[in-house]
This record gives sequence, structure tokens and C-alpha cells, in this order.
Amino acid sequence: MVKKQESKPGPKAWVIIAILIGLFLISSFVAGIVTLFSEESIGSGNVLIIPIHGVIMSSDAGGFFSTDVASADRIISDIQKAEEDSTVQGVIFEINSPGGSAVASEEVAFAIESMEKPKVAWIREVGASGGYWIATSTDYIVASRMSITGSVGVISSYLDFSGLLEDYNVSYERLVAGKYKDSGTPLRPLKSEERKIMQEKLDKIHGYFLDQVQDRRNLSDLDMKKISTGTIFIGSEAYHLGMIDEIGGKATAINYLESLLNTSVETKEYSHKSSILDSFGLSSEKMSYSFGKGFSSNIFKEEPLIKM
Amino acid sequence: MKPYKEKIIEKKASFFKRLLAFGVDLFVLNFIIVSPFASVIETNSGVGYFSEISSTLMFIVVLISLLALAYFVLMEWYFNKTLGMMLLKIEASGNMSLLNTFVRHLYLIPIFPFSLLIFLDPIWLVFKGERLSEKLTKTKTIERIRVF
Repeated sequence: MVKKQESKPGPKAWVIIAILIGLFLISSFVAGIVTLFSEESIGSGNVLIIPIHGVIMSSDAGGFFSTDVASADRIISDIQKAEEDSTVQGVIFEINSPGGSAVASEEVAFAIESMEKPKVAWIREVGASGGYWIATSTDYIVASRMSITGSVGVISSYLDFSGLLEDYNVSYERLVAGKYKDSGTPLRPLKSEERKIMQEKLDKIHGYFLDQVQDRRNLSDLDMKKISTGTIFIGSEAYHLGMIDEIGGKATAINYLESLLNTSVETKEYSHKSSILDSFGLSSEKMSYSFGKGFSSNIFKEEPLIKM
Repeated sequence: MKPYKEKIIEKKASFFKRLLAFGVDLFVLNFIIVSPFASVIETNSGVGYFSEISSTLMFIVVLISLLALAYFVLMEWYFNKTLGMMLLKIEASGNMSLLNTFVRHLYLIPIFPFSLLIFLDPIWLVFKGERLSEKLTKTKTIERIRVF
């Protein structure tokens, strides 16, 4: 293809420089304004609030379609910082979680138990299952009378797709070394002996959970029997069973700490610095997530194998 | 004996030249647009508490995207090429009106469905030899070769 050159006049250096400087000035100006008006991430209070919001997982890992995650890594890092921070006299764990990974919940619970500073759990909408396990590791639990708590049980259910595959004439070629290596695969029905093994594991984990609740809450065997069914309790029921210490909210948690510390309490939160790339990743993830939320939540769940 | 006449042949710019040019542009944008926001982005980030990413951060990301869009639109509208394209000696060709240059870089708007173009444009480029937005605007990215 031969064509006479027809293009706009050659680049003038001053126009290019003007465009670049213009964009730089706009960026700098807006960045300056944002800095002036942005809130200080770290307050000056003497009690730290550590949020535990969403499904409890070991780390921040999650894709486009992941739901809100309470990362054990980050919560534990906050706990360690709070222990070393001389300005922090106590910690309030703001729990709004339906539970999550059994291992991650236990990791957080251990970290809280090892804290020497006073710690209070403030259950908001939900503090169930793994969320409740974490709450039991604090010194004092406060919840609204309508909060949902309890659900002291373990779950590892999954969908069995073998019937669907059969309908489409797709067969599962089993190639394993180790009799039970593919136990729990959704591609074939679970055998009775495998079911028995899986159930034993779940019962053991359930036992650990019940031990934790009974030890930390000093509950009678009779109350434990009611709790161990895995049912949920609203705050008022949980209070009568001794699962929580007081009905209330943030002010109640603060009052408890004020009486314990014998000083007035002001709260603060830690901010979490991240690299620019992390921030962009999360922002675009959040935008995409918002658009596909309804669609994704039921299809692409990233869940731990054993949940509580 | 007749002297050879110089001809200029236009051909579609190679994928790697385009990629490199885009890389250079991103490098430039990182300095002029992103760097002023670096400290603000860091203090407003809440990795881990996914639901609590500040609205400030969202605002910054949208603003940076729009400023980057302004860079590409202004440069291509005025010169038919960005700094990266100048360096790699490639340029946009066709009716480079303000609207067309805007459409060519719609992928920079971080809002659905425009954000889909971030994936669609390069896929189209790999398989069809031109970006989807180039097809829509009937424009091309070319390089000129002198032959004798």
C-alpha cells in the first residue's frame, strides 16, 4: 500500500511539555486537596478497635468474586502491634462475622488469648460459629439483644455432581494412589466408609470448638447440650445461657474497659498501608465485585474445606 | 538510468512496537499523574478490610484514570501519537477527531462496561491485528517505512 504521507504537523515540544505539566499540576493540586481533607487513619485513643468483618480466612487472598474477608494474618498483626503499642491500654474486637475457616478462627482466638491487655468482644449483627469462637477468647462479650450468635458447629458439605455428569454421559476416571485420596470429590458419590471417616473428623473439630466454649465461658453441661446442636441464638437468648456477658453495644464495651482501666476511654483504629499496586488491585476488584455481586456470590464461592 | 524514487509504505504497527509504546506511556504517566498521589494512596488503603476501602481511594483511582485518558486523547488528537508512539516511530492514522481519539481510549474509564475493553482490546489486537476500539472508530495504528 503506497500512500502520500498525510499527518498532522510534527510535534511541537512546547505543546507536549504543556500537556505533561498541565496533567502533573492537576494531579498535584488534587492530591494536595485530598491530603488536606483526608482523615487521620490512626487516632489518638487509648483503646484499639480491631474489626473482624466478613468470612474469616487465613489471608487476604480472594479473586474478583470473593466476598468480604476477615484476614487472620491482618488481625493477628494488629493484635501484635497493639501489644507492643504503649498507648494502647485495651482492645475491642468489633465482630460482624458468620464464621469461616476453622484454622483461621483458631489462629485468631489463640492470638487473642495470648494478649495480656484487656480485651472485649463487641458482637454487632452476627458473631456466629468461628466469629463466636473468636469472641470466647476475649475477657468479656457484649452483643445486642438482636445479634445473631452461637452456631457452634462444623460444616463441610458440598454438592455431588456425579448425577449431573451421568446425565451428560461424562464419567469420572478414578486414578488414585491411596484408598481415600479422592474422598470428598464432588465427581462421585461418597462411600459409607468415607462418610464415616469425614464425620469423625468433623466430630473431633466440633469437640475442640465445644471445649473452647465451655472452658472460656464456664458453662454447665446442660447449657452446653443446648449450644452444641449448632443452632443460632439471638443476643438475649445467648445472655440467658451465659454465652455472652452483657447486652449492649460499643458504649457498653467502652464502659466495661473504663471501669477496668479506671480511666476514660477513647478509641482508635490502625490503618493498613499497602503498596500502590495493591491499592489499585483492590479498588478495581471492588468495582468489578460490585457489578457482579448478586451473580457471583452463589456461583464462585471460595470457601475453606472445613468451616465453622 | 532512472534514479530510484523514494516511497513511503504504511503498514500496521507491529504488536511489540505497540506494546513497548504503551509501556513507555505508562512509565510517563506514572511520573506525571500517579506519583503525586502516592502518599495519599498509601494512607487511604485498607487492605484486609475489603468493605472499607475508602471512598477517597476510589475517587483517586477514577481521577487518575480520567487524567490518563486526557493524556492519550490530547496527544493523539493533537499529534496523532503519544510520547511512547513517537519513540517507537508509530502513529495513529485515520479520522483522528476528538470523539474518535476518546473512543480509542475508552478502556481507561474504570466503569463497567468500558472496563471490559481492557481485556477485549488486546485480545482483538492479538487475533485480528487491530484493537476493537480501532475497528469502531475506523482508525489504525501504523508505522511508515521508506523504500527506494
